[in-house]
Amino acid sequence: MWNFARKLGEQAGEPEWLIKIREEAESFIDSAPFPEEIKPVNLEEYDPLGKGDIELPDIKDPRNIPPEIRNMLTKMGIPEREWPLVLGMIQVDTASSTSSLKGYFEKLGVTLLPLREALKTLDEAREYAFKLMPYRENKIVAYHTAYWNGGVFLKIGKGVHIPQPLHTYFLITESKLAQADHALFILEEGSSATLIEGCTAPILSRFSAHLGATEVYVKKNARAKVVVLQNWPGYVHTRPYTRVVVEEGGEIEVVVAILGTGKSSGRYEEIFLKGKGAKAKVYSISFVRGQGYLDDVIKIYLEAPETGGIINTKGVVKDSGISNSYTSIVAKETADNSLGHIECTGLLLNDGAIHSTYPLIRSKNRTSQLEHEAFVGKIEEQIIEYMRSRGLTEEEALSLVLRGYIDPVAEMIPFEFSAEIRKMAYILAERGGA
Amino acid sequence: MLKLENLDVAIAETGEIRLKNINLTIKPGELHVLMGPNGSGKSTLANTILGSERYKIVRGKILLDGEEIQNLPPEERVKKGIFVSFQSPPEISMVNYMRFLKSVLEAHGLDPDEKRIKGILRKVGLDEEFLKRDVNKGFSGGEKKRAEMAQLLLLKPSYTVLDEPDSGVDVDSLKFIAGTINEILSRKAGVLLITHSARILSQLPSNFMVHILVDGEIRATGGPELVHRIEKEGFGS
Repeated sequence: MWNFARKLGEQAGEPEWLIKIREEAESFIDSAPFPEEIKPVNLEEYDPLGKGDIELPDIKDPRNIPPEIRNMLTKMGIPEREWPLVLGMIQVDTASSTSSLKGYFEKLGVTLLPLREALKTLDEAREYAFKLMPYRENKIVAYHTAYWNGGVFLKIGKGVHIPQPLHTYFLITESKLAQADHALFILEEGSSATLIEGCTAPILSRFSAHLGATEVYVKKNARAKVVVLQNWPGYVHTRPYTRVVVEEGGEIEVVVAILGTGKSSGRYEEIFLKGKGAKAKVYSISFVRGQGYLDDVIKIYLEAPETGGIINTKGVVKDSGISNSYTSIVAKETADNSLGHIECTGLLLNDGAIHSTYPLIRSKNRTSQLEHEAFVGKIEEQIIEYMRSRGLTEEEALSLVLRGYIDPVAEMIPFEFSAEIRKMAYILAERGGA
Repeated sequence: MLKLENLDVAIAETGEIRLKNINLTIKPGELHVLMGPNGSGKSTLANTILGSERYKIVRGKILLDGEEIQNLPPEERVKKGIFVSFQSPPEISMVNYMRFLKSVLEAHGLDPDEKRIKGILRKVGLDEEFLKRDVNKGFSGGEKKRAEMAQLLLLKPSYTVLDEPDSGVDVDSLKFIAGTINEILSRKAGVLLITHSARILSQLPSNFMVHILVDGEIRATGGPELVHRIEKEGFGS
């Protein structure tokens, strides 16, 4: 019944082998199940070829911006003149912006292209793209692989170190307009870079469902830091999917900040530590409020000797928000002397908010050491009363505790974004909220 | 002048009356000592002056220099100059102590000067390393009480209620606590000291007033001689 893949690929002038991948994935959309941790979405409601099911307001006049988003931008202190830009409504000409950037990055040893162009021109793009995407077993990935549209190819050359963070989101503007953008990151041997995906400002979206995906290859002794920022408007369902492979001696640190879940968000991230001594650390902070809903799934597979994984998730839940944190570290038979640690915590700001943690550790190797801890609770009344007795208002007291809670994660995020994440603490501490 | 006038106080949740017809006046520079057996309502009185939402004033007034303050929230009362120290201050994980003190000073419109904060901590015998820790986290009983004294000195309130600052502390801590009380009295602050024992009183000025609280009522008021009587005869008489 799904029959859009060929048309989509042909319209974009894609080579036959790529259209074949789309068609193959498309044939599994019906039979593949949703990942069990993730809340299903009704994909049949969406038109993969369409321009989107949401009519966007003309926001050149800020008065047309929906009040919830206006409110949020004001509280984040973003000047009104920048609103159209942060809302993703002003398109930078993709071709010209990338061609001028292209030369700049080439000098640094970085290859940066729209993914579709990379797949036409670069062997390595063809070699790596969609290899990590399990569309046979997973409906979200099947849909994404069949209908992906837009995205970025980024390769850090061998031994290249990029000190400043790369904002992949702003580099390829077509990404932010697509329903299913696909990012492919390759860090060659001995290279290092920090990549920033997304943005802390809320983005107006034409699609009420987003199914983006990211593939990351961290080669031998390479170091990657990936900062994922999400703030979806209230009408959007998102199901982003990420898979990472780390080779011998390589390291990846993922820092996730979810400021807005939209209507529902189901983030799925899997990291495979395939080479000896490979390491992965994932830190996540999420804010779920209003009627928001979040499934945050993080899995690390220890597959080689001396591999190590750390997962640390923090969730702040308010109003009637629901937040689920699914974390797992699995040590395979081959993972001698591997280490894994999971720590999941949640803070509830009122009755009616729900946070659940499902940490799982599983070892098939007796020399592996895995552990987990979890805590969910509310801030005790006595603490707030104590702080009030010293002159802080209830809101000031709450935001001080919240800041203390989120700061260890916020500190890992470049300043221009961490400031906004900290502001979120003040917004949540307000009575009634935003 | 801090004046409690005909106060009846109940537990907010149950409506159970815990304090009956409390009348107490504290003038600048005066030391008042409140004693009474366990469960007599001493901490309830401290919490009532603090403005805790766990208690409800069903009758009477709290007057600060003639102004009724019984309907103000805790943060407004302390900004008006009434400081209540906690018997067991809570540990606040995730909030750094220096950041907390600076936020408190800012809330009072005071300069959040780190040097001054460190100086005052030293004055109560606490190393500045405490400022790197979370609020009260892992502090010993005596250290928590000294930290309360440090906040008292930082904020310089006109009236102070100290809820058993001397319970469970060693001789050293007691010396710092008594020193703090002496200092604020000499600056003409009014003090209501809630205590179990006469131990701390020997280190304080001898011209204090004593009030005996039994079953939520002030049963006796007098001078230091009342303490000696209580020590001999107990609260029963």
